[in-house]
Amino acid sequence: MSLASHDARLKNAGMTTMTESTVRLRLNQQQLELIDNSIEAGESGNREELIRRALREFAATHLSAAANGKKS
Amino acid sequence: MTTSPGRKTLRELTIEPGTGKALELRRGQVLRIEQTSGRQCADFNCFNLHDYKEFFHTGRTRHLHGLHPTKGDFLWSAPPRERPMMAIIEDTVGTNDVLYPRCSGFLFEHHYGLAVHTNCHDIQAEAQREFGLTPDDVHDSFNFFMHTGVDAAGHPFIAKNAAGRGDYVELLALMDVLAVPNVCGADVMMTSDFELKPLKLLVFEGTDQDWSRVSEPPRLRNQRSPSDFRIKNIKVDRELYRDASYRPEFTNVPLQISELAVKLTGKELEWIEQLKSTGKYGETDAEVLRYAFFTWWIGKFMHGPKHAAPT
Repeated sequence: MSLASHDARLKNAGMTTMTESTVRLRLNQQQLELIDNSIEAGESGNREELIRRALREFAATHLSAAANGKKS
Repeated sequence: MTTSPGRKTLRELTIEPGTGKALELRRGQVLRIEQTSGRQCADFNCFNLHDYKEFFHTGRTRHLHGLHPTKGDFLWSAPPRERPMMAIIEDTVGTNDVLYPRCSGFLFEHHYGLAVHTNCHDIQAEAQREFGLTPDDVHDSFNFFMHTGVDAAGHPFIAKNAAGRGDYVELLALMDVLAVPNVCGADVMMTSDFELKPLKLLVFEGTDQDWSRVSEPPRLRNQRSPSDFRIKNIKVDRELYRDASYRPEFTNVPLQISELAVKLTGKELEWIEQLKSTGKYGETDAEVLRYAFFTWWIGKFMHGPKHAAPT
């Protein structure tokens, strides 16, 4: 099951859609260095974009697996 | 004298039960450890021939190659050196172990009531003594032909030795080393099928074909040498006493925490809510997002064996 169909299933189940919000990550300079190195390597345009990409790809794997009943 | 096609044999000897031998090997030379009659474990250690403080480390080797390193894997030195010291270029059995520590006099006295007994620590120490090393310089061994595993409860076990007559491993020296193989002294354990047998040792001059079996190891800034140390000389006395001039210089300290604000859409917040509801990724939105980011990054970009749980 794709993430889109997983979302559609949630919608059909009557779950409400959440509004936009800001999450604040507490990171040290070493963790930020890793993020910045990834941006420098061309993986994303900026820090926020990279984090959102990670969430999108992580959710695609883990929520789809959970929706399909796989051990995740 | 040649016993292997294309190779010149430099040395050939047999080590008897209860013994081991320290051998100087130059970079490019090959050590073969061969079964004479089979089912015999060979403990092994090695040191940088020009700096004995650099030595084979089971921990880094286990981390990089798993519990049973074999052909294609390296024997790594301990932090902060962390260089491949030798390469396993042949292994006709494939049942090696870097999980179990070397057997010792204590072990046989404690487990079996045998106060004086052959054991790998003492055999290694006695063999290493030829080069001025002490019993404190013996380190955990690479256990060749030691057939082991880990059961479902996480406990290690020793299985029946699977090596047959003529089976062998070959190690190519990637630096000048003191190589110390010994016949494992455990005759009342499963390790060598309850019988100690001699092992044959051969040293060859390595060939281009031998080098072609070695993959390119990493060369990194953090593979350090004594020139990188703040204290460059080896401590020569046993007593520990405080250096009054000491001022700590820990790396990257103080660690500075800062906030990274990430604006998420409603859909992205729903994903976080769903992930949070599993109870596996964190209790807050920030914890879940941090978990998702770093495990994603590890899976996608990290070199070497992945340490994150397969969730």
